[in-house]
Amino acid sequence: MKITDAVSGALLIALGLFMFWQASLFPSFGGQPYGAALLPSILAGGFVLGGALLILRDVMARRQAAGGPLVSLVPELRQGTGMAALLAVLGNVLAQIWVAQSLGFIPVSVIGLSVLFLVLRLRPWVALALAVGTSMACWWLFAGLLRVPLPRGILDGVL
Amino acid sequence: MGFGDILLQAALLVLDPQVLLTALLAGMFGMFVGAMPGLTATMATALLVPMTFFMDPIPALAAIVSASGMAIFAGDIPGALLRIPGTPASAAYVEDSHRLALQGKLNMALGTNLLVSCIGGLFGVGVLIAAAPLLAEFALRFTSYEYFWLATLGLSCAIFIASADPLKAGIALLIGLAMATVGLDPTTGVPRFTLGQVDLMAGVEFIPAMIGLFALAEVMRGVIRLNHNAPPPPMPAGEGALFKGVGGVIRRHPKNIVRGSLMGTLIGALPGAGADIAAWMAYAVSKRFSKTPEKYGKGHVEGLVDASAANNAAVGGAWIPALVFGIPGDSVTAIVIGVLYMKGMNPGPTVFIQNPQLIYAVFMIFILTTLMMVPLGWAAVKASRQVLRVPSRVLLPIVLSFCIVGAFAMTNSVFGIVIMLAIGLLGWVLEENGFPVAPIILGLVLGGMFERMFMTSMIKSGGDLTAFFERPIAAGLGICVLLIWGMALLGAVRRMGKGRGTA
Repeated sequence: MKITDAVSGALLIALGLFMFWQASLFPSFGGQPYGAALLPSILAGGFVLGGALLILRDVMARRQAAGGPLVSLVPELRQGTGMAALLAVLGNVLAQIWVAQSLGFIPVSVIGLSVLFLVLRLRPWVALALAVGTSMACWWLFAGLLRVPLPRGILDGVL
Repeated sequence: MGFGDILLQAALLVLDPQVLLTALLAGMFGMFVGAMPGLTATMATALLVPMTFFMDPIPALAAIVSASGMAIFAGDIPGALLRIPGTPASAAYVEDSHRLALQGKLNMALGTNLLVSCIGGLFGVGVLIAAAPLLAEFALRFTSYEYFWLATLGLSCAIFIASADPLKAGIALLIGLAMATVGLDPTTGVPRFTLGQVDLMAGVEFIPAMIGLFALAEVMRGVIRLNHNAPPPPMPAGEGALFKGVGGVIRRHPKNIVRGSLMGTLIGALPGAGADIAAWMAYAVSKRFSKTPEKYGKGHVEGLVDASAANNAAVGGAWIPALVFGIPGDSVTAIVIGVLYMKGMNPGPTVFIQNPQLIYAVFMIFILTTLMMVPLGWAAVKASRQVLRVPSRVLLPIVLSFCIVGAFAMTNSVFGIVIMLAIGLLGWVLEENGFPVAPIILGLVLGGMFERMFMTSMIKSGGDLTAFFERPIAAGLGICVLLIWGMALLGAVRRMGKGRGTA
């Protein structure tokens, strides 16, 4: 995602204003002039100032040379497997957040990684072997050796 | 407790077989990650931390010291073989080392890298050992004012020295500081920016954020840029023994080694600037003072000597402010500080008094792993031809898997993964748009301390800003900060004036 500096500047100003508003709601304590809101308010001021400077710089640069579109895709995303691969990576992470609790870490990881390897154009059997190997290695290292409670899911009785 | 007793206790801590084995395995891991293009030394550390979380402090620190040092050297290997630096710290001299390799001097180039890295590393450790305890004694007298200015100085260096675009670096730093304010406020206990999530009460978990910024974002960039049609790059042949001719190079360039090591240590010790910048600056200085500057970039060994010494010296140098003040010298020590807090070993001058054996154990680990770099590096160079054939499309999904379980392990819940994803996406978008991500992590790590010191100072002085300059050291540090900002603003105004003049 390519975002022009003017647009990021506007987003930063919005973030700064949001922080100001939130910070103004923090309770203050009697007899204590400096409270929870002080640093967030200063940072919010920084965001507004930084955003404004970004916009100013971008506008000045655009006066000298015509700028591109305000928001555009990273060029690599439009070529080859770029977009599919990015979605597969994000899909893997989201599946571990949403599905793994019920299905278990290993099934989600094997399926997700197989898809990702296939998208990256590995041969199917290589993809499956690597996905199983990686998932088992992670399970052995983290759930086995380090006792991290990775979700067991449907494999509860087996593992 | 006498000094001899401290050293003995430290030696007993380090010579534990478990510690030695951990250092060896972590070193091999660091060598591998550093040697793979696209995987950085910071990533090696970030992926290692979830595992060190379950260890005692000494093996945990041994693992991090070992992995980060080895990764910085290992970055030189693909630089020479493929003209792709394995880590950003090797980018400065990649042209020289690759051309040397094409001239049939591959082993000489890598052998020089390895031995000079080891010497530079030892130099950095030497300065760390000599300077840290002295500084700590000095720092014992510091109050919140001095710490406030030190933190501000560190943050300012990250903006103005360590980045090409100070405005964007400053915004990245603000993002990090803002993230650090999430959670319960340290002075009043008010929840801030928690979006009603109980999980966010304790703040943004630091290690999942690190994994997101330095590993997940890197994986995303990597899979997007994979070019399936590119043929595997050719590797020049290496002939003869690895260290043949290296002795001659070292004898001919003692000045370069000392200069590179010294610069590397100093730049490493500057908060916010690490091995990458040390290598670039040492290379530039070497070229400036060389009798044959025209040979640089064309397969000349001189700049390579300076810069390889500098990047490994920076690894040790970065630990000086980290151990003494709790202010990270680079992204790796930012992670280290997070780990130290998790282990209850709060960095700062008091550790030197309360637990000196731990500090000396860290020093010993440093010396040990730097020496271990020579045999491990030799093995890594020998194995590199096979290892570098592992394609990125196999490697990146495996790294992704370790990111996910690593982030999960830090919170024992999917919340760690959520943080990693959110911050990884943010880091990816920011980096694509020219915002550096290292200041974010610096802001996140230093934010808590910065706010605590700022609030304490404000409450003590009743809001009187002149109190920030009343103590002599605080005044000195404060003036340094103001000078840095003043010079930077002056430069910016001048540039704007010039821009108008040409328009």
